[in-house]
Amino acid sequence: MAIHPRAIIGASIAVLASALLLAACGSSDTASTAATASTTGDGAALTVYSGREEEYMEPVFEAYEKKTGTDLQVRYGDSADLALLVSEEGDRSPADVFVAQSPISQSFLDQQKLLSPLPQAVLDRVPDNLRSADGDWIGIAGRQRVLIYNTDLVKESDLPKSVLELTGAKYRDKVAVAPSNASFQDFVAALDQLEGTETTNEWLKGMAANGAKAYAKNSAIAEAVARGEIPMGLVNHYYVLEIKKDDPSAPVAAYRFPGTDPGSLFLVATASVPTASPDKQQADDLVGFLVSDEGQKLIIGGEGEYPTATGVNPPEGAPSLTKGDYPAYDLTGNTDLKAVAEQIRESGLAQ
Amino acid sequence: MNWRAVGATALALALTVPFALPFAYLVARNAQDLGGLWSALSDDRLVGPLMRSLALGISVALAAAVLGTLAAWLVARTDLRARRTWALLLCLPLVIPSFVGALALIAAFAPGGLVEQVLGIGFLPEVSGFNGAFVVLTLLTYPYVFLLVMARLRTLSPTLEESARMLGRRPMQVFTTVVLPQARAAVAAGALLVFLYVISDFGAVQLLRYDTLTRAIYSDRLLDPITSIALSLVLGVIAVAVVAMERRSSRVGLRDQSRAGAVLEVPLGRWRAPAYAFLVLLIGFSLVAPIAVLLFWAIRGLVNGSADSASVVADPSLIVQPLLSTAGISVVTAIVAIFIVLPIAYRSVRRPGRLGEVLAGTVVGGFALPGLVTALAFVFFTLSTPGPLGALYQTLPLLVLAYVVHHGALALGAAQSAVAGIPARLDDAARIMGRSRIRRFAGVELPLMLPSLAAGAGLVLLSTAKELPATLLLAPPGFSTLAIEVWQAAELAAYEEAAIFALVLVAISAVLTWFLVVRQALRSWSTPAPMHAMPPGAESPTGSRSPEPTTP
Repeated sequence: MAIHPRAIIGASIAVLASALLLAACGSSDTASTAATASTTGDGAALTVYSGREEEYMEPVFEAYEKKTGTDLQVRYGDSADLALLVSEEGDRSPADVFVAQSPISQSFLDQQKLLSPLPQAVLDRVPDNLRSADGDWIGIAGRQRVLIYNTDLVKESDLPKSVLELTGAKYRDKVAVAPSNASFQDFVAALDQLEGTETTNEWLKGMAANGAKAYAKNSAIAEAVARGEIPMGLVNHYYVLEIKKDDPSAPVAAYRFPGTDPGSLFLVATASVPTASPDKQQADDLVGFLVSDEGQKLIIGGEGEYPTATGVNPPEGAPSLTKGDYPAYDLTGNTDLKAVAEQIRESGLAQ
Repeated sequence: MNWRAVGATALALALTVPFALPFAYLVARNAQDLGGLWSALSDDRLVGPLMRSLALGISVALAAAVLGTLAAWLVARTDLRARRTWALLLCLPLVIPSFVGALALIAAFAPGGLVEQVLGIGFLPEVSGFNGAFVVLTLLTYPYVFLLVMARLRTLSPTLEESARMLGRRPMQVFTTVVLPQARAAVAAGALLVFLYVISDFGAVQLLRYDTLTRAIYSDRLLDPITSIALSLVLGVIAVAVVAMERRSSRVGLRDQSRAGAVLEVPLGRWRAPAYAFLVLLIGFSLVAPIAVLLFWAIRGLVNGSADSASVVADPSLIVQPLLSTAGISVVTAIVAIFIVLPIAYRSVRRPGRLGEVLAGTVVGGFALPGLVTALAFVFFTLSTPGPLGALYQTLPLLVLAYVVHHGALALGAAQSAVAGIPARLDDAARIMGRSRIRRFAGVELPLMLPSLAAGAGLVLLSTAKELPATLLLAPPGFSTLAIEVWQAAELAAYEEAAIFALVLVAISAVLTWFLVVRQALRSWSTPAPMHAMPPGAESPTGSRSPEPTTP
């Protein structure tokens, strides 16, 4: 069949136009959000950047849209990347609300003075150890650091009493960590605050010297432990539940370091309102909804995380968690992020 | 004063500007904190990751060059059956995101993985570290070489080969002494792309725990942005240096090559079985194996039934929108990329010199920067430019432009060899006949360049379809692609869901590649193209032969 060259160009342009159109129809709104002027009340629009996955946030966002008539435009991504994005956008950021998977991304923005304080009524919903001291961000769901272990390879009696014992000869080449993962970095920051810089450096170097293996992320550790590739690893508690959900017969269990050991750190996913938000009042309202009774139930639905708001009960089946079960770490957001990065780098743990 | 030449140069210069943005961004960011830059560069811990990046980049580039070239020759120049099908299958590994390839390798070969469970083999090589990253990246990147070399081999003049054959050389000897030297520039261009891709890759090295520069860039990006941005600049400098070296060594390859007559085909004879075996093994490991792992996950998910009502297992209609978005955006990007780099290719090929090389080097070098850097550079320049550009922020046109900048390198090599393949006498003849520049381009040059341009467009299309960081940051909120869905599901460790989206991504890419790339790049196996606007005496751009290959 003969193709006339002009037909090729014509076809190209036609394809171009139609594909653009298709893609445009597919996406919910292609209007520039930077130029979107939002009105208040019905028909308002908010832009949310969420580092917490769609699966966990979609139900709560939908409920809010239904309840208030606000149209939510959500950009999902990695918490660290989205924090960099907000920082790069600076005062032209279209983001009204920033949701992160862990405090470290919020601290990054907080230290650049890019977050507005939340209203006191919203802050009062959660205990003060689960929000930043300056009131710029708030915990919306909690998770605990645990030691995941392979029940075929490790006897319960061999588990350590403290995370600090993992540098011992007994655990040589047996422990997985995720040095580039934000939750691990949060844990290092907490260890620094709770036990001092010297102990933290010794622990990191000790782990590296003890043959601790660096994995990409929590889920990679949980899978490796389930396969029996490595006997144990430091992860967030719900990764153990996820493995069990996929394969109920998987030989894994979560071990909580007893008492207030730093290894049992309680961390939160967080929400904040960037200073550049074009609609601060509405944004505050959305954050308030995330920590309301209704919002809390939707946020932690089925994932085995803990609520952060006072008086909201944890989901069925979650292990009970009281203040005596985790260390009193102060999430003030004054963490020296660069120091944490250097400590992890210096230890050689990441290699 | 030749105003036409000035105009062409100005156009090429203007089109190169967006490609310089990521470099400008890195320089500007580093200039803000020279102390931080210096401390990051003088740190002796930089040496290890740097060496590892180079070692991985060079070894994968070499391995991919060998595999890709051999496969290209078999498909383009021998009497292989069903060559278009082979060509399609050999392109497709390019669309498998590197983190998916790494996940599949780990799931299959790690201790306690599928191979051990299913086949009961307990003695498996270590999959993490250099070996794993080398294997995964080689298998996913050889198509860069394959496509460019295949397109080049379709445009070689047969006269030299005929002489060599008459002198009694064996097919293999003809290949090494005659064909390979002529295809050297394409092999080098492909290998360069592989090298640049590998040093910028994060997905595979992160999951396989091989500590390269990119891994350091990502680990530090939030806690220590200064170090992260300094290391990105190091990557950019390496890329520019390597591109400059490659250009210096392969300038010979960009000569004006005319061709006449049909492409020669080598009868495989008793080499037929080994040739098929090689292709089957290559496609088996690079495409069938990852797809088998994905299928295992998908089927396991379907058998178990997903409890989650929002999951694609429960509601297949969730695939439709990301599917359309992926197809639309990658086709548009491929076409736009070709038209944007063509003037740069013309300028650098037709008027060889320093300026053309700088322009081409800028376009190619950007491919080594992680997508995250390119995306942040676009955020920075879009929002800090006064005027209407800010209104384009987080819209599809800007996303396409970012893709084009990130993947322009893939289109440029193909566009350069396409331009180099236009016989000058054709152009002269058309000019004598008084045809305007536009009509010469559309009537004479474009049809001739089509096989090469299709290959370049294919590289861009497949790379765009799997792109992640720029899409996550620059797409309009709510705009989702298959690659994003795969990533989101994998983040949740919902592998059945990730697998289903990944399989759909491979399938839609296969369809698009077939129509846009394979059929164009291997057009001479259909009926010969007509001669539009061909001056008398010029050869037809495509040879003709019967569609059914005959065995000697």
